[in-house]
Amino acid sequence: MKVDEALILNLEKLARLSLEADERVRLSADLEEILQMVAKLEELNLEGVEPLRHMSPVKHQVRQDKEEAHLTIEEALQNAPKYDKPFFTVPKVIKR
Amino acid sequence: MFPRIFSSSLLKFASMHQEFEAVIGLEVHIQTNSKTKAFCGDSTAFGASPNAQVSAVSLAHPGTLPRINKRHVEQATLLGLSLGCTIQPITYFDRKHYFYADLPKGFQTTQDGSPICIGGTFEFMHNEKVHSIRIHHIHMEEDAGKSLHEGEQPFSQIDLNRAGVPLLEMVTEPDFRSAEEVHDFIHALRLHVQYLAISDGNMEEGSLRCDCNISVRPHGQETLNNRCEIKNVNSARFARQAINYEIQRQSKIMREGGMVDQETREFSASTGKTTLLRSKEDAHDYRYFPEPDLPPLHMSPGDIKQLETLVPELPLAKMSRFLELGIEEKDARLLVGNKSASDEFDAYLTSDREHTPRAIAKFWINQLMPQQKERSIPEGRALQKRVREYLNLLDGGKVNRSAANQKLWPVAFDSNLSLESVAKEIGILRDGSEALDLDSLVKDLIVQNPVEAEKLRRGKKGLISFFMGQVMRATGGKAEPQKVSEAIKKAIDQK
Amino acid sequence: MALKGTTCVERTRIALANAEQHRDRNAFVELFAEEALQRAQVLDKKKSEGGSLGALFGVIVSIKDVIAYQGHSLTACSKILDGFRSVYSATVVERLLEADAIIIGRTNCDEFAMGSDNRTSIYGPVKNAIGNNKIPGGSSGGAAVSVQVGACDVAVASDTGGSVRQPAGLCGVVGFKPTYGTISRHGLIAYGSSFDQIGLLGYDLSQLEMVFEVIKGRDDHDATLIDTPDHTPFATDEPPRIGLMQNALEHKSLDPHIKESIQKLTGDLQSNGASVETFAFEFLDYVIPTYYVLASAEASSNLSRYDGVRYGYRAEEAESLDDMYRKTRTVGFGDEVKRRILLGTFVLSYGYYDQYFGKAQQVRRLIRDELQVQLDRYDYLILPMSPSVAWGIDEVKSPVELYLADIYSVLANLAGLPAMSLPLWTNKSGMPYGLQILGAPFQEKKLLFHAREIMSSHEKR
Repeated sequence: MKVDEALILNLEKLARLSLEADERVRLSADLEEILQMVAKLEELNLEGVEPLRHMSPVKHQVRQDKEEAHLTIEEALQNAPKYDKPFFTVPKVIKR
Repeated sequence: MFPRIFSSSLLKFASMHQEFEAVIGLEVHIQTNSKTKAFCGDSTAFGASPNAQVSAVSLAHPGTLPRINKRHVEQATLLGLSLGCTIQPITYFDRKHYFYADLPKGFQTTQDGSPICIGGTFEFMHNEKVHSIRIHHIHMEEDAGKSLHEGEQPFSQIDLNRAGVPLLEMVTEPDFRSAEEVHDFIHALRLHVQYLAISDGNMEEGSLRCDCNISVRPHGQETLNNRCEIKNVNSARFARQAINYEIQRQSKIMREGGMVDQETREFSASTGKTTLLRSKEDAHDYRYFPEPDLPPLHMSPGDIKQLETLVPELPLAKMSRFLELGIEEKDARLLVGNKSASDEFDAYLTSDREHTPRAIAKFWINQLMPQQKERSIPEGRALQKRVREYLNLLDGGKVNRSAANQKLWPVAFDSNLSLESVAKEIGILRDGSEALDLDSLVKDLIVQNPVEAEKLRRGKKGLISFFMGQVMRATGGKAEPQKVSEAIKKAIDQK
Repeated sequence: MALKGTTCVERTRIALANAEQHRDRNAFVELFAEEALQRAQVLDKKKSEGGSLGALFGVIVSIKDVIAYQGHSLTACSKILDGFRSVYSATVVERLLEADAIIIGRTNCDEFAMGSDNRTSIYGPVKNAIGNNKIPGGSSGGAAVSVQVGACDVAVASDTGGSVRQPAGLCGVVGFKPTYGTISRHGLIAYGSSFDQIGLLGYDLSQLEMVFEVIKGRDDHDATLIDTPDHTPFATDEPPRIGLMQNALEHKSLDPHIKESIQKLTGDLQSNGASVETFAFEFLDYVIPTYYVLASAEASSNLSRYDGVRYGYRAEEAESLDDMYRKTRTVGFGDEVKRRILLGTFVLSYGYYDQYFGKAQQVRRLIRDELQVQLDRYDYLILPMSPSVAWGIDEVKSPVELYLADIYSVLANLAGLPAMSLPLWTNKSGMPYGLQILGAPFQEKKLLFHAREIMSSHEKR
């Protein structure tokens, strides 16, 4: 699997990263090497094998529809890099 | 399915007016009325101060884990059972990834690979007929928070109270052919969820929102053309507007020989138009995978059976029952359209064997429901008792029907006294002495109007109303017309 | 070294002094010195007044910087959680405190617990207390060293692909990872949710067992937990049936000294009456690809929440929301984390899911089922902990080289099994290496029993 620029740019976009040019070259090469290692999985015949989706043997774990403690607005905002009480704030999203 | 219903001649007829046929499918998001969020114990109450209904879980603080709300599962199952869906014995949740400021985890917890309900149909009234659309599936998921972009400040504000609120998403097959059908469907679905008591169906508060998938094609074409998805339409009226606009837009492109681009659009209520949100190239890659923090749900046949008993009588069934009871169709429709009023009506019906359902329905529509709209009045037993007392009072002839409806019923719940006492207090009660007075009053009138009395005696029946009017004027409308007319006849014959 | 001292205050002072003395090892990112001493005083007072004492009375523990403690900083050793203070406590922390344990500080680790050498921490690398400038292993390098230098009795850490056991082996302490779903993950910063499990490091098996008893079991905050009510100790006179994973021993990457040590040990066990059989694990060469596909996929998802909106670091001067996300995450995450996010994003992305993620989930089933077959046959399985002893902090290794070194440790996480690293050996230059034993799901008691047997018979020789 070749990790070309289009692929790495798409992954950066999906993961919300913007790599520096040299970083991009380096990580692309790493990724390519990792995928080469991962390609080993192709050797196995997996026909009819059900994917293992959940590791816990627990089935049907639900909670009652009961209210639990909330954070105060102060607690909710205390870790926020930016806020305008009682809101978190982010750079303005321009609506069309 | 569709082309078979309409004969080819009908199709030709239709095409004379409209060259294209619309094919519409919906994804409806129903906000349920559970007390807490889908995956944590935050309140879901509407209207709290921003960010007052959040916890470490809904803020996606590091190390927090989701837990499934039992009520959410029950509501999904109930909705599925009410529409004949197959409830899946094992289902699980998936993560749907995208970045947005009001999506704290960076993914929405939803069901992509294994929705809890599959198949089923939704029946509703459209153009006076029962209309049926197929359901593809119903799944459970959570809502996102709210981003506010208004105002002068150079930033957007984020309120996460709604983040994690339980939703049920119903995905229909592309069975709709017009905006009107969609409009009627949304209203019917709203009533349906109110009947199931799983959602208030309140569109102003965003309890019902839908994404509409629309494509158009020449009549008779079997295959589907490119479709557009209109996001987040939050009322039946807007859905109708948005779809009609979109049908026109796409038809125009086709008429001019173009191809409709597959894309996501949004509807603006102020312009009534849809605009491009993102093109196919910009479509999200959601990278779904099974949520490892939530074990699969296992629904046993026993659980399902138990929930089946909780499916109430649904609007269409109630409608036909009311019609069988002899209730006038327009009254029946009004009753069925109001879940709580029709429940009260049904409860009363079982306790009253003396009056006809038709008459009681009339009373409900004309007297009770308008009053309920204006003020809060007692429910249940207290209501039934007062209604019974009132109808009996009318039957007894002790009050004039229209006077009572105008003056007595509106104050029926203001006092603990008997309605008869209230009637007396406000001066509309007839007693025995009044009956005697009626005879002497009529005699007096005959003496005062000899010419008219003579004509009446000779057979000019129209003059009864002359005397009737005189009596009414003298009694201030309190007299019972039936009794007055009897008294007049008696007095004329005695002469 | 084991912690001495009689009163809680004395023991806490000694632990703090040991931590200070070995400050250059960089094991702690924060010591809760004052708080720990205050708590020790309260506990001593309680004892002198004859109050009822918790099961972990006076036990001094360190917690890895991925475990939430209300009112305390929590950073996963990453810039992206710069300044973050947790508003709640992890279930394990609550249970430790209820049982009268003393929390001494937060230990250093690889960023978001991603790494095998503790070199990816924003606070700089941790140094092994043994040897000259050697790595302690990772990701719980700080935890292992906190035990090594006598700054705590037990280190509470997390193990996603060997993060507790591998550094335990490289530092010469005991490492213990229970079955997936035994200890609540509520309050543990997620890396690979279907792999993550709280684990313990220490010297004293009985103490580890006591801590395990206190922190395990049902917790309403974690839906994947299974109740393990069995508190009865396990004991048997029957000689154990042991399965030796032969092809693990034959693997080209394994240091021959380690192979010899294991062979000698199994010989000794046999002469003590144990039955030792060898078996070949046919999926050994597939465990690393499977692990890195699945764990990275989960990591890419779990780390989506670090977006600079509600907490942690946010890049200044962003032009738009999207720009803010990108700048924040690019500056906030280190290289190894970005590498795994990119890999995880790739294997889940459109067109590649079936080929990578779906396939890895299938292989995971084969791996788990095959190990279960062996565990039905044997009381426990023996395999190496790491292919080599600790390497130099300045040694350059490629990501793939590092990943491949996890070959023996990720098995337990892929199958969700309980596993331990036992510090049995040192090489000629004094560098420790451990033995790994794997048990059947939810049979921690049995595994601990056999671990004790192995260690005591080894000490006798």
